Amino acid sequence: MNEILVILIRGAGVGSLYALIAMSLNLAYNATGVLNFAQGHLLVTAGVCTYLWMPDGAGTASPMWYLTLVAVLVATAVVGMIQGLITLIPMRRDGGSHSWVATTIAGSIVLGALITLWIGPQVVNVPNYFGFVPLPDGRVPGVYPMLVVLALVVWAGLRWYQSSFLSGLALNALSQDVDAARAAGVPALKFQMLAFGLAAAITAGAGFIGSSAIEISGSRGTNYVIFGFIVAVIGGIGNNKGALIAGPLFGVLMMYVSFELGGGLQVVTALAVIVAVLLLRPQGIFGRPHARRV
Amino acid sequence: MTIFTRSKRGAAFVTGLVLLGTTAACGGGSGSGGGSGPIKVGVPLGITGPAAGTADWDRMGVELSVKQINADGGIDGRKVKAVFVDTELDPAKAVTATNRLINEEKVDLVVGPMTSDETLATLPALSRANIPSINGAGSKLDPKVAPYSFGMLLNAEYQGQKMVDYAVSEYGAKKVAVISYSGTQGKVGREAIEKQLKVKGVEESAGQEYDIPVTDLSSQVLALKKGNPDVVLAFPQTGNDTGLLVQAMRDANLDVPVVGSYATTYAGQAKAVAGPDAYKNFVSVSWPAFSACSTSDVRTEATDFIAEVKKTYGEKRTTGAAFDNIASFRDALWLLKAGIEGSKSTDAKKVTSWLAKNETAAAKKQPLVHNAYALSDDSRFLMDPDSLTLVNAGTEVVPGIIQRIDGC
Repeated sequence: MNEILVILIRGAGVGSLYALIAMSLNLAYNATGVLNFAQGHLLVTAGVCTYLWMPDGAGTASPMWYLTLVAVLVATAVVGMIQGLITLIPMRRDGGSHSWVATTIAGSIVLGALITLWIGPQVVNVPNYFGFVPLPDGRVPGVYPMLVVLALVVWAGLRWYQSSFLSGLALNALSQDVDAARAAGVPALKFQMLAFGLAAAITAGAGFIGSSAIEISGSRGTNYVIFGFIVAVIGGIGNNKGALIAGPLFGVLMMYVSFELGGGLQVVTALAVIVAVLLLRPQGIFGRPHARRV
Repeated sequence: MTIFTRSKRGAAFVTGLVLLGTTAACGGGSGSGGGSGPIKVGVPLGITGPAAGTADWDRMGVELSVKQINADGGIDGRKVKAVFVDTELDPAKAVTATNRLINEEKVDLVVGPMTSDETLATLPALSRANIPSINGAGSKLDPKVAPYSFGMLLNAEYQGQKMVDYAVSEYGAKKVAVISYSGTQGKVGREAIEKQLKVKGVEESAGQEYDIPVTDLSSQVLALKKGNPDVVLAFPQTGNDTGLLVQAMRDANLDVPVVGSYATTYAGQAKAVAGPDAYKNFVSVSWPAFSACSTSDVRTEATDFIAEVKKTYGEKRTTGAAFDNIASFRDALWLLKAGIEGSKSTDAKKVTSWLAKNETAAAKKQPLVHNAYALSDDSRFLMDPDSLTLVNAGTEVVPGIIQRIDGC
């Protein structure tokens, strides 16, 4: 029973981290058609900023903790917007181009290299700010339930924003049809950059709250974006509700496989899951098939 | 017709040049030690990737030896130049990096790569190119696999045996759980542990493996706990996963002693993850040179070396460093220097043959930091397996020298 509780809480927490990355991928994808492969390194960037900027001994009761959170969100969002601009400009010249594949992968590599230059090649560690959840035999670091809460807050926040605010509605319009939105007077580039910035801020929140549960080093971003992408595909690309449900399920499955069959099978399981989903439901479990113009 | 003949001659000339060039390129390392230019040392390390911190130590070791050897007059009168390349700790990328060292940089010697997986992947290319090397492998090396190469790390098989022996003799273990990383060294270490457990009549209550990089070992530790072990035997790759193991054991309330392989001595990395009391109930296998029972048996070679490393690279970069690891990469080049000067050649066969016969004696003449070199004809491990010792890596007798707990 104790083992099941640990697997459920930790698995849901790790899966929520992937769900947050998936939601940030969705946000930028819906507004621009771009899957930002640098999102994993933006997560690590937020972890690095947390490691460097958080004063020693500051906890959730300290105002400095919240100030650092704001600083990390803003800094990462700015990096995300710059990276978005670099990605979007070549696409404006040739709307049908797939230049974004190269520019987002390049962005990921550049960010990784900058992180290595910034903190050195080693892994850096951030303390767990959220205490522990006691269990009958053992405990779970509080960061894992916090990640679940964060995923729920971000999902609900995005729904509210995209249905209640003019800029949110404009992002929705872009996701429906970019050309039509442009024709209706929506400044597409401005809102697409906003989408990149918001996506980076979501990832930054995950990197800040989950900083004690992620590996902070220049070489790790790619792994996070791969798992985030898997969750986005399982949930249905562009579908945040799908990501919110698929992430924790995926995390729990990974932990359970590791517990029952050994850690060596975790990655194999991840790949098997994505292949199975693509075979059975190419649009993802919660995605809708695209209408095709004839 | 004349034109045709000229073309044929031209083609033959060009072909001859290409063949000559190819022969020269393939013959790297076959020249004598009396060449003119600098001796180039290729150093493939995982400069980025999951063991980048360890690679930084290894880089310091090689850089120090290059500086010292050049100050000492070089190798056989020739200056030494190191060429570092990044393997990202990936065997496939290590092969590409090594091919670059062989074909583009035309290196004479190689120190590295860092792991058994990378070493086993790169050895065929190094052997074909006739380049002598000392690598960071701790398993699967013998004269057939590595005709011109030696491993500087502790032999994983002997580590595994020592870990089991200690678990039985010190803790009276009847049931042990084993956790290892999925690389070659982890697998070899685990096989050795399982073999020795059978010899000792001890039950393996659970076994778990994990891939590198890893951020959480809680599910593996929960599986180990199910078997209710008396002792956990750990074969991790870095101090980072050692810290994750301690953290997961703490969270799962698994309070049994841990006996770990050499990588568990990377205390700086482990403490950064699991806190200052990471080694509360933890014993590790290590080299003797950087451990001591008390301040009275601390080796001055080791403390002088630590002082030199700190002076050269500063406190910030060397905080938490495993100085024995730095020293092993530093000693490697000195040993290759002894081999080249002793055999009067950079030819891989001659250098390795000379080292296999004379390493122990040469080690005494060279200013080496480690003190347990004992190579034989049928071994490709530089270190004497009987020299393995047990330490409490979390406690320092003096800065950089860890507490030995056996033979005191």
